[in-house]
Amino acid sequence: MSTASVELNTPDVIQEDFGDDMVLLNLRSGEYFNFSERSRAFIDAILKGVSPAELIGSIAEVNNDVGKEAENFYTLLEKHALIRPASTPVVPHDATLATSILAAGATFPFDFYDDLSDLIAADPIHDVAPEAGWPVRA
Amino acid sequence: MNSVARAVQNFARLALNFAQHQLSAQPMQKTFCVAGQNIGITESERVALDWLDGQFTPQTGPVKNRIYADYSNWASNFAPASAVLVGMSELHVDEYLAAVNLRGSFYGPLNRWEFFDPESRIGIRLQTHPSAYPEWEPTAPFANFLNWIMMADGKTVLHAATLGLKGKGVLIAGPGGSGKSGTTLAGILHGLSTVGDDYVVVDTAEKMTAYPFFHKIKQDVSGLSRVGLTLNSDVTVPLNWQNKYVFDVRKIAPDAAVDRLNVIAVLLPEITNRSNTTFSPASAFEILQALAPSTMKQLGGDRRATFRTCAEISRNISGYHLHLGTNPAEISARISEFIGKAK
Repeated sequence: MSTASVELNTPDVIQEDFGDDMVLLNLRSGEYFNFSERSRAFIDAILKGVSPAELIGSIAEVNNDVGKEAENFYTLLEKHALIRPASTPVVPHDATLATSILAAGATFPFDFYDDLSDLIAADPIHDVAPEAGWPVRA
Repeated sequence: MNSVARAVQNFARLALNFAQHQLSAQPMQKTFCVAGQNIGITESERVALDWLDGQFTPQTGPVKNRIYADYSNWASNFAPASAVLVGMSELHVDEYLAAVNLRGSFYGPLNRWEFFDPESRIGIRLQTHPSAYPEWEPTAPFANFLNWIMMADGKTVLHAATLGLKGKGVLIAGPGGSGKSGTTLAGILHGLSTVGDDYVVVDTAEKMTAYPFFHKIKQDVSGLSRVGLTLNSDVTVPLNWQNKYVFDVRKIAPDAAVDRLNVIAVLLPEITNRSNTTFSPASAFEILQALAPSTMKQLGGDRRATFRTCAEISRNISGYHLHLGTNPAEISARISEFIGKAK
């Protein structure tokens, strides 16, 4: 895992905050996500420039099992193309950040919804026969 | 910007120039007003004009928004080749056109393009044949254009129903089958008012206000039966594409149709089969989930902006789960109490 900073994968990904929750919509996939508890605190930290790798390391120093959960959570963020490497310098953090993330909740929930995905997946334009001249359902 | 984006943008500009030319040469054939915006329609052949009757209020002033509907297959000579469009999604069309401050939609199964320029307020529909329209068109005519016109006016069209009392009201949001239309019907038959049971125009400036979009409401036979209605000469009209009857709210509740409501909350109905109707708080995310996906799916145009607006509404308004009882009069009475208590 890179020790570089990351940023939101804009403009494909839109962020909306709702108090303790953060909602991310990926317009490329149609998936949207609701992050709360430790997930919200973790994302907040890495979007402020804290290195994900260093933060996961700090969490693991406090609690190794939770460190593994944080790593799994971060892998999902990457897998769903919600974040990307950034060129901005890494923002240093201290041990209190890891403890505050642990205190934000009991888990790293990764709630995602795909009921908008058919805007992409069932797209009428996708399965076409190019030789037909105009797009038609293949 | 890639070559597909450029092809779509260039085609949109060409089509809108064509519309400008046609509109300067031909008179408006139908005019009407939606939420304060006067709109004029001109068609190359008479196809959709009759579907507009009874859906909107009459024109109230100069027409600022003009739509030209072409059914001559003009687009076949100018549209991007299908090979260029392979892999393009509806969201791509939104994005490509938003980048040049245009709105548009492509409905692949019927090769139908629609474009709108928010600056000039001119729109064009390019349909390959007079009968090549989507099945929902007769009951929701020109819906994309109306949505884009509302957006250009700073308003938002939401997929939601409404009920009101003495000028205050609630949005009723949720997926198909959750009970939106049935709840609306129960309410208007028992003294509540409405500005619509399917789509609604919302203005979020200062007090959130809802205005009618389409004036007709729809319900299937079993839904009519649940609220004690039987089919008669007033409501027996052809079934729409969803096997629902579409009728003017004024036919069954003459005083129920109002021209605006101040929105105080969003209700998320759930059919429970319990005897009594109850309320429980819903989170901002639950409101967003009820409003955004169905609105984004059903209305073309800048879906990014739609999501943002739904999020803003969700943050700024109270939401409640509405656990529906089975008695329409009781449902209406509980909603009436709920609205009446709101400050």
